[in-house]
Amino acid sequence: MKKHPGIGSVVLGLFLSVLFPLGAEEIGLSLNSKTQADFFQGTGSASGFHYGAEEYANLRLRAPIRDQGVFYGAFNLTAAAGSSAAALAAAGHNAAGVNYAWAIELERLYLHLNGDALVWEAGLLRIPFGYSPAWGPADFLNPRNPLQPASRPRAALGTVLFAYPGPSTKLALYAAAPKEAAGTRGGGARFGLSAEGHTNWGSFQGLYFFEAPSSDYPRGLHRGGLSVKADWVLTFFAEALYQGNPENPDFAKNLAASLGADYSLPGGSVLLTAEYLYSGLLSSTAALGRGKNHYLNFTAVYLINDWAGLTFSCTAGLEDLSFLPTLAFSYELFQGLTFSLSALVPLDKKTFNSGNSAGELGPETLGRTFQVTAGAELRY
Amino acid sequence: MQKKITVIWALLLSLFGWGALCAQTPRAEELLRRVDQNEVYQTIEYEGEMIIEYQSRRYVKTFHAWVRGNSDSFMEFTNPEDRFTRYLKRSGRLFFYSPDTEEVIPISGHLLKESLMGSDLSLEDTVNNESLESRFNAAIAGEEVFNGRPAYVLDLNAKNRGESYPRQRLWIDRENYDLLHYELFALSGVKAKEWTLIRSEVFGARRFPVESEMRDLLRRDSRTIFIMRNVILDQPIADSIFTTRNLER
Repeated sequence: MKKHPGIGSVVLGLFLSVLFPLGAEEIGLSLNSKTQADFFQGTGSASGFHYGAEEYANLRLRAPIRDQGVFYGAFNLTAAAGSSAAALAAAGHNAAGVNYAWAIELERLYLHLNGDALVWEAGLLRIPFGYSPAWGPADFLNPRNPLQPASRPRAALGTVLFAYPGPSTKLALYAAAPKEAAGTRGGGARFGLSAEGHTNWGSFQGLYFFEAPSSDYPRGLHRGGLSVKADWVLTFFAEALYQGNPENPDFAKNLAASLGADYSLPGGSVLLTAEYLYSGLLSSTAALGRGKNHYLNFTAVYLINDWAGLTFSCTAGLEDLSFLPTLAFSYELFQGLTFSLSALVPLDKKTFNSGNSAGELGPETLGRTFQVTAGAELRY
Repeated sequence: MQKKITVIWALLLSLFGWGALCAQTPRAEELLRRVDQNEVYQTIEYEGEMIIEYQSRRYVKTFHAWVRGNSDSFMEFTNPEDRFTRYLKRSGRLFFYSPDTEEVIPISGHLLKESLMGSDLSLEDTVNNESLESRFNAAIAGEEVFNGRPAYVLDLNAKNRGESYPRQRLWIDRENYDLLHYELFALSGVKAKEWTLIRSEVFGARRFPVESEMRDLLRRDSRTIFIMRNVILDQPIADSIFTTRNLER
């Protein structure tokens, strides 16, 4: 691996030196760190035992600008070995120490300004859409990875102007840079608007986006979405994002939609969530899969007591009957420090009969037959 | 004849005694009104602390809270582990802002009754501010000494269905009408929670509980000490506090 000693540190140092003169006593600093090791049994040419180890910290800074706004910054700091180091290298972070790879990643960097009538945000920020807990088909600017539900959502470079016509309503105008960051002609830039409201029965959000013409979409791309969350004994959520794609106008290929419900058993110690996803092959969620349309996510959380809990979640590919069940146990040793242990066992039809083809979420595709992960998370 | 006179005297004495008792004991509704006058507010702003003791563990959560009437409340947690976590209750809907996901999440209605941040209180407990008199029929069940204070004991039964705890028993200080203690019973009749006053303070013409203990009896060996500091009662609070915009600020 090629070494880049100190580049990240210099960036971080510059960032801190810019921030702190604003008033060090006002700066809010919070830390979310994870120490994690995972072990897995590989498949195919990578068969056999593998390990990964990672020390990760998400460092957040918050600098109020009088009462008029806030400047936010956040960094991910990672040191890794084994498969975790390989993952860093695959993501383009190729700095290395004595026996580890490391990375400093800019995660957030944005300004939030409060006006009397309007709020303006600009920079590297999270721009969320929709109420879907697992799949988030409308959350296309910062797409989630349902296979890593605990990971913090990523950011996009953009700007948003909010207006609040009522205490429970919000209108917004958006502009976001193209996915091709180094492109200078602006092809693929995204512009949009959204409206959100909350009533006694539930919440709803509608959005429209236009993506400027680019080499991928010479005539541009239109996106329209709707998300609803409603309370009626259970809580139901439905969400859809359709993209008007002149290059390939097939409705089914351009639609992503999810439908689900959650419910907590009396006493609150068990929370159940189930959500189905239809994923069109060209839609916002297409990157999740490999040419499949129907998925299901089920999660059951059992709180054993205030400091220990069990979570079972299973993501399923319904067409090829492949499953990704995960069982996780968490234990809070003291306020702010939580230990966790999880086991993941990908399953598909080939697991039980070698004559069958491999499934999308099966061991062959994911490159492991089982994985055990142990970690400690500190929040402060 | 002697026996008849004795019976008449006994009847007269008992009537006199009952009359004297009635003259001293306020009516149940009057007691409830006194409690409501002390505890029901138009608005409140305070800095709160919850000390949660659960099976030999101790957690401390601090927050800033604003409450208006019985329908609107806003809480922002300030302890390091939960800093910038915010809750908004507005017109019966509950919203949650997490600094981890940086988005406002409407919380499912069924979660309103669940534990607030691992404490013995539900979010509903912390914001419930509707007068007892409007919600319950009351009957005096007797008098007892509670924590060294002479107290009236009141039994309450809900006027309407939909109360989380349709039956309650209250201990009200005979001298200053502090609500000293109450017990909440679930629909099944099981005693679910116990609340005990630790300290009240005088604000103008009212006595207001600023330190109390709540026990959720469904949680074994658990209690939460709830402390309010820098309490500001019945001062106008800007409408902008109780908005989803404030969650995202």
